[in-house]
Amino acid sequence: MSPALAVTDRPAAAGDPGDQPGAGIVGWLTTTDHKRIGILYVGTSFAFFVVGGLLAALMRAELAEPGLQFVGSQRYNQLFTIHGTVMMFLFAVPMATGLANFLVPLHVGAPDMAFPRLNALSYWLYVTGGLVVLSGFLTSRGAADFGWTGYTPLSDNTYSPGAGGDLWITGIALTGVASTLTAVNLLSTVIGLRAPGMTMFRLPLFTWTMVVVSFMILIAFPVITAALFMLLADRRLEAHFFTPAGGGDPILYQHLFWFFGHPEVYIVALPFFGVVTEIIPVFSRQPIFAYKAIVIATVLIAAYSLTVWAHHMFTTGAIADGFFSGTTLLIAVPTGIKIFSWVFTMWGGRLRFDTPMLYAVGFIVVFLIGGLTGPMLAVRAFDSHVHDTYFVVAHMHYVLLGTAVFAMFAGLFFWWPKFFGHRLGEGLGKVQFWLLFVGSNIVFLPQHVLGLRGMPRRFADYPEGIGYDTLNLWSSLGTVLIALAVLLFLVNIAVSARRPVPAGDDPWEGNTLEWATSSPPPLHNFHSLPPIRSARPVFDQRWGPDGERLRGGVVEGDRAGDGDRP
Amino acid sequence: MRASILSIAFVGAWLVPTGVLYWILSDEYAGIVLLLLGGVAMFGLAAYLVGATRGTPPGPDDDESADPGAGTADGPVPVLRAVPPASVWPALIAAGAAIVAYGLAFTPWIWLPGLAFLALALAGYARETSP
Repeated sequence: MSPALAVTDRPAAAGDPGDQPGAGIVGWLTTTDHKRIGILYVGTSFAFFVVGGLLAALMRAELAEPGLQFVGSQRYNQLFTIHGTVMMFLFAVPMATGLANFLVPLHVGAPDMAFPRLNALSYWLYVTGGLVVLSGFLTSRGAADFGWTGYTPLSDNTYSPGAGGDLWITGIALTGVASTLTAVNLLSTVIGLRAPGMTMFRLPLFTWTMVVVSFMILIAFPVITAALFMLLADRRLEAHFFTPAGGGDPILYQHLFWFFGHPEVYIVALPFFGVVTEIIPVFSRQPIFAYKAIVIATVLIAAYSLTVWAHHMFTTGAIADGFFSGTTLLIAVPTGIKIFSWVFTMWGGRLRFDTPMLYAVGFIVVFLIGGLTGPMLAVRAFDSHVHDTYFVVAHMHYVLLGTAVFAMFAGLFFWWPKFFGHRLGEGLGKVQFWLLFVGSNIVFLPQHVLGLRGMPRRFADYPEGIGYDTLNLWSSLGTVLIALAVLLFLVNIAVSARRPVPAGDDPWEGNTLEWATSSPPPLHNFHSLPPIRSARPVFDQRWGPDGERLRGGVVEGDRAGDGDRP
Repeated sequence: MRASILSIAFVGAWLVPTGVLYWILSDEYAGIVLLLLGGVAMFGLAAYLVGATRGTPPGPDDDESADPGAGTADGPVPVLRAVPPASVWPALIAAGAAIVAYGLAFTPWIWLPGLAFLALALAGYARETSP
């Protein structure tokens, strides 16, 4: 072994971490270990994903044919409000947070997060905040029913009385505090706890996206927390921040909400961009194409995302159209850079279509379809026609389904061996992928046409015979495939846990530091670290400078022949 | 550290001119305030980090040829930071915060005791020390 590839042992800590409790329920309730907290985040947010999905399924059942069948208009309003709230606040962001919790300390070569107890506090605030929101269903008037955006004056106590709306506000505020604390923690970890040699431009790109997202959270989340408390003051204390009768301004709420809300979309999307940016090089056997361009594109997306908020408000007629049209069109450029980079990473590579890669490619397709309708909506003239129609619903679901669902499954299949030491079943995973891919296109592709035909969103009913019936039926039938796909994933978890096949420490021949430690990693993460000389330290450790294979080998026999250096 | 400070300053350097441009193009105040204050906040953070790291040489985490044994940004000794023990306080703080959240939606008779519970949990969190 050449000296450059020597592995340096880390001495064990003074007061070795033997005092973390065991695997019992108390152990999980009181843990401060970033890996356990990460797994808790992933599990909890997946549970919320299932809840949000069930609410969506109820809506699609109602919309399968004209007329009111299952739920009344009032209940329907609650369904779409809580569906949007759960998916945005309780599923997508926390799922990314969960992956980041598990991975960022491993990626930078640190033993834990910078503030482990604060990390636990973030998780518990998120859980209780989520439960507070959902418990609105138990109140006499039901849960909040003014949409996940909570626009005033609809959300004031004249039009939306009842405790459900207040619980929505206070619950979301708790999850907002949780996200802000996590952002502080992640930034401190990356700034202060990087291993020797792990310079900023050697950080894994997932961790880079989390750095950028943390900045966005620090700028955006305090704004929504403030707006929510202003709304609560309006509802409970007659404060008139947003009521014209008292000298307030309802449009101000929209500005505050979307100053948070549009960065929020990228706070959801960027970490999942990071996930596929980690996965595609591994399964293409190539380094990522244009590492620095991806970093710069990530920073640019974040920067632009802070300046596009009022494109949600074109139809108010009270904003600077040109400014927001321009910035919104511009943001497509750095996003395009990323897509080119993913494609060129695959170009000429020796592709392996294991489940994570299948999902990563599925992500590119689904996200691209959603992304392409974005610049259309950035054009003021077009937007006025399709505002508040199913065209917008289709656009945002393609974008968010691509990122938060397809890329999430890519990440879960990819890192499951690191989480638990065994892989998820490949066969079931591939069937699940095709069910999800076909199902989500059946659900959301027809909604573009529905929107262009003028069908407004957020209505429980629609007239018969004006071109809405068949498309809605298709859209509802596709939901069954998506539900089956999610069910299959749960079956896959159960089956692979019952008969676990040890995956080894590095089943995919990864590049980044998490693959240099055991699966699952020890409490303090690394017994030893390889030297960090590039963005791919584990790759460098596997291959000597003259192309000789030094370490590793894959678990499956059919890949053992992959001997030449990519 | 230098790259971290630069990236923070970049966000500030982006937001302030954008805020000025927005001021010129729009007569809407919320956006002007949000953009400019966001930029000022980022410059403040960058300035703090510049001050906090003034005079310290680049750590091994910024050294491209540092060996794994060279320690972390916290010091030159390659000692693993002790992993903190488990703590019950984070979950209790969250429980207290949830009671306050319910109280704000219903009645002071819930949020007043909730606030007391939250204060106790915060005190427990603050007073907890590593063994």
